[in-house]
Amino acid sequence: MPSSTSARRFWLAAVVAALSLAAIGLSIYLVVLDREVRQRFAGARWALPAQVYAAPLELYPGLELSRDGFVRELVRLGYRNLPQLDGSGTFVVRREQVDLLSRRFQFGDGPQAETPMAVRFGGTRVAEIRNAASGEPSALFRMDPLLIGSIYTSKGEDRVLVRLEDVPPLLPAGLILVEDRHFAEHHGIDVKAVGRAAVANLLAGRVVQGGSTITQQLVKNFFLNSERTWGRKINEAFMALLLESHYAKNEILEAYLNEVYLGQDGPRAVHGFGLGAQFYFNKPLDELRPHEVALLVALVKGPSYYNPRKHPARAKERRDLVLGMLAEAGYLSPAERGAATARPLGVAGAREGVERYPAFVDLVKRQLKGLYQEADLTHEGLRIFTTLDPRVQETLEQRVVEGLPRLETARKFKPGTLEAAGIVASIEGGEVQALVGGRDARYAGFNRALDARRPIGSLAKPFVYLTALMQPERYNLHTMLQDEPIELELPHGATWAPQNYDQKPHGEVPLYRALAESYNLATVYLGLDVGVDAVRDVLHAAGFPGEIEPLPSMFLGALAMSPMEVTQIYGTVAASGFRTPLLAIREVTTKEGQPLSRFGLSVQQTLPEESVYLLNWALEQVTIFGTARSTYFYVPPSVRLAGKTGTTDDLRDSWFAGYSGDRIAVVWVGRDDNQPAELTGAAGALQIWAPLMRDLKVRSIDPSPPPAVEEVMTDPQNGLLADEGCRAALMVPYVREHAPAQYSPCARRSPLHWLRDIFRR
Amino acid sequence: MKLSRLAGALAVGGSILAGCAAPRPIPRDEGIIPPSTAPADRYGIAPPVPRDADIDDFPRSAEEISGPAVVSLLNQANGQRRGGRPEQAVAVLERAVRIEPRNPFVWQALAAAHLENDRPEPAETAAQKSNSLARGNPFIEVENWRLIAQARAARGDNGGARVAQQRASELERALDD
Repeated sequence: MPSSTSARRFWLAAVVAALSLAAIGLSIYLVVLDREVRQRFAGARWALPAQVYAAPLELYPGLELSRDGFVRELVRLGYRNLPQLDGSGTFVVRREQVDLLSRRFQFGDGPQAETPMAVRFGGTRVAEIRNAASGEPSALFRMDPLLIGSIYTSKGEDRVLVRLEDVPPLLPAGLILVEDRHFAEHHGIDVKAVGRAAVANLLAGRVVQGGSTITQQLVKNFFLNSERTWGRKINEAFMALLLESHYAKNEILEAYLNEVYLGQDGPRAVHGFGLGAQFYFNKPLDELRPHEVALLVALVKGPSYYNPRKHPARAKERRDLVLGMLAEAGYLSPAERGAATARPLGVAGAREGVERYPAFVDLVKRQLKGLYQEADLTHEGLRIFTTLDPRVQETLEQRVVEGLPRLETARKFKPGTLEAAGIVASIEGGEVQALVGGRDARYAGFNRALDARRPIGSLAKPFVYLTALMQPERYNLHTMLQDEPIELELPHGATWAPQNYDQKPHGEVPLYRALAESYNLATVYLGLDVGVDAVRDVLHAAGFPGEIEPLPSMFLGALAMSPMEVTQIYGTVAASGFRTPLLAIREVTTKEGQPLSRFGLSVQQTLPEESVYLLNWALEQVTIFGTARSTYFYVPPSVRLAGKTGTTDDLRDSWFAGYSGDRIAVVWVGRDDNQPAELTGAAGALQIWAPLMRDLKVRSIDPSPPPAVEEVMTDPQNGLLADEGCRAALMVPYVREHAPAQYSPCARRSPLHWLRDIFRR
Repeated sequence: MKLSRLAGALAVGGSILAGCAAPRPIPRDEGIIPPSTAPADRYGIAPPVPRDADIDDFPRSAEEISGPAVVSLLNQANGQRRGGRPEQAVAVLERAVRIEPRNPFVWQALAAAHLENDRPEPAETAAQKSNSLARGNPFIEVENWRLIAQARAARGDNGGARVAQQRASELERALDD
C-alpha cells in the first residue's frame, strides 16, 4: 500500500515540520521574553519617588520644650514608649528625663549613627543632654526628621526601597511561609502547589486558592497587566522560569519585598514593605515587632479586603492566622505568639500614612519646579529636606479646625460656610514652618494659602505709613493727620468717597493712632501726600512681585494678594527691612546622600531699618490699644506682638498679619463664593491668629532700637517733648535728629511752664 | 570709655570721608529703596550716631552672648573654615542662625564663610544683617565693615570697598583710644 505509506510519511513529515516550527516559534518567543525579563530586571527597577522630610528637631540645653512636649514629638516620629530601651526608635520616660535610642539617619551634611541619649528637663525647658553610652554631655543633638510625603508619578506608585539584609528576618520568613512554602526549592513554578490549588478549586467550585509562587507574583506585578487570561498565565509561568534561571533567590525575594502592593491612600498606591511600614505604622521597617510584621504579611493576600483601617476585625483574624503559622514553623515561641496575638493592630492614624501635609508639599513641589525635571523627582529617589516644623503645622491646623466652627456659630452660618488659609514662617530666615490651604488640612485640594488672591484691605495701610515714615523730615509717629471726609475724582469719571469703618471722621489724630485704629480717611490723606507711586515702590521693595494699579484705592487695600504674598511683605517689615524670600526647602540630596542643591539663607536690606522700626512700634500699638487689642485676651501681656487687621468691602475677607520676635503668621478667613463672611479682621482672622501665637509660645519682639533711632518722652496731646512735669507721657521712637525739639506746655523745662511759675508767684 | 565720644570721632571722620568717597553703585534691583536719611555710602547700616551706652557693656565675643549649642556650632564651623571647607561651614552656621536668629556673631561668621566660599553678595548682606542686629556694638561692626570691604573688592566694587575699609579703620582707631 504505497499510497498509505506515502500518506503516513507525509503526515510524519508534516508533524515533524509542525513540531519544528512550533519549537522555533517557542524559541523565538522565549528569546524575546528572556530579553524582556532581563532588561526590565537589570536596569532601574522602579520609579523611586522623591522623599520629603520635615525639619529635624534640634535638641539643646535651654530649648523651650517640656518633657511631655518631647514625648509628643517622639510619638509623632513613631518612636515607641517602652519600660526599657529596645532597639532604635524606642524611648523610656522617667520623672524629669527621657532616655532614647535614636535612629540612624543620612542627613544632608552626613550620616548620624544610632545614638543612646538621655535628655533631662527642668520645668518647660531642656536642662541637659547626654550621650548615654559615653556619659558625655552634648551641646546639641538632632533627631531624625519626620517623613512628610513623597513626589510620585501620575500613576500614583509610591514606595520606599529596602534591602533584604535590612529587613526584620521574620518578614521574608513569614512571606515564604504564607505565600510560597517551597520558594527555596522550586524553579519559578510550584507544580505541587498548582495541583493542590486546582483540586481545591475544583472541589469548591470556585477559586479559593492560588498556586502562584512568589516569583510568579513578582512577574505578574512587574511585567504584566492584571487581566486574567490563559495567555497571560502562560506568559507568567515562562517568565517566572526565566527569572529564576538568571537571578538568585535573594534577588527575587528583595524585588518582591519592594514591588508588592500593600494598600491605597487616595490617588497614591502603597508599594513595598518599606513604605508599607511607614504607611501603616509610621516607622521604619526595621523597627517593626512580630505582630506588625505579621499584619503586613497578612495584607499581601488582599490589601483592600484586609484593610486594617476599614476592616480591623478581618485584618486581625488574618494577622493572628499568620502569627499562628509563624509559631508553628518555629519562628515564634508560643509565649511570643501569645503576646503578639494579644496586641491590637496598632495601626497609626485614621487614614494618613505619610501623606500628612499636602498643602505644604504642594509648595515644595512648586519651589522645585524649574530646578528639577518631573522625572528626576518621581524616579530618582531624591531626598528633599524642608523647613516644615510639624509642631507648628499641627498647631496651625488645630487653630483653623477649631476656630472656624466657632466663627460660624457666632455668625449663624451653616457649618462648612467659611474657609481659611494660614502660614507661619521664621522671621530672620524666611523659612515656612507651617502652611494650611483650607479647613480640611489633610485634603490636597485648592491651596488657598498660595492660590487664593483676595483684596488685602487694611493690610495695605502699614505700607502707606512706612512710605511717610521714610521721610523723617516730614513725618514722625506723632505727626498729626487729618481724618476728614474726602471725595476723589477717579480717572474714569466716577467719584470715590471712602468712609471710616465707624462712618465717622475723627478730626486730627496722631499718625500712629490713625494706623492703630485703622482710620481710612487719614490713610487716604497721607497716601495722597506721599504719592501712589512711592507707596507702590515700598510694596515692591517689601517683596510683592505683582502689578499694582496706581490708584488711591490701593491705600485701603484694593489690591489682591495671596496669604503667601502677604507673609512675604510683612516678613520684610518684621525682619527690620531685610527681605528674605520665603523658602520651603533647605536642601536636596541624592538617595545616597550626595548634596545636589542647597537653598541657603538669602537676605537683602530693601527698606530702611530706622523707618521700619518706627512702623513696627506703631504696629505694636495695634495689639495694645488698636483694632487687635483682643490679642491680649489670649496672649500673656509680657509678650510683645505687632500686626494689622484687614477687612474688605462688605466684610468679604477677614485678614490678620502679625509677628512676634521669632515668627510671622498670616491668617485669612472668607468664603470661596466671595459672599460676605460677615467678619472684620479682628472678629475673624485675629481669633485664629492670637490663640495660635499663644500656643506656639512665641518670643517677644526685641524692644531695643537701632542706633539711628532715639526714644523720647512725648506728650500724647500734641506730640511735643514731655518730662516729669507732664501727667501723661508716652515714650515714642524717632529717627535721630528728627525728634521734636520743642517742649510741651506741661513740661517743667517748657518756657511756658517757667512763665506760669513766675505768674503763680 | 563713653560711646558718645567714640561716635563723635566717627562722625568727624565720616564727614571728611564723604568728600572723597566714590559713589557706590546701587545694586540693580528695582525692589530696593535706598534709606532716606543715610549718608551716600551707607546701605541699611546705622550711621555713626551718638550713643549713650558704655562701650564696656557691649559683648566682644560670641561666647559672651551665645548658648552652648550655638557656641558648639560656631566652633565646628571655625574648624571647617580652617580646613578649607567653607561650604560646610555655611550649612552649619545656617543651623546656628535657626537656633539664635538674632545673634550678630553668627551672622558675622556666616558672612566670613560666604566670603571664603567665593560668594561675596551673600557675604555682604549677611554682614549688613549682623550690623543691623549689633545694635551699635563697635566690636562687631568693625569686623563687619572689614568683611563688607573684602566682599565689595571681590565683586570689583573698589570704591565701595574703600568706603567700607575706611569705616572699619575709623572704628578701629576709635576702639584703640
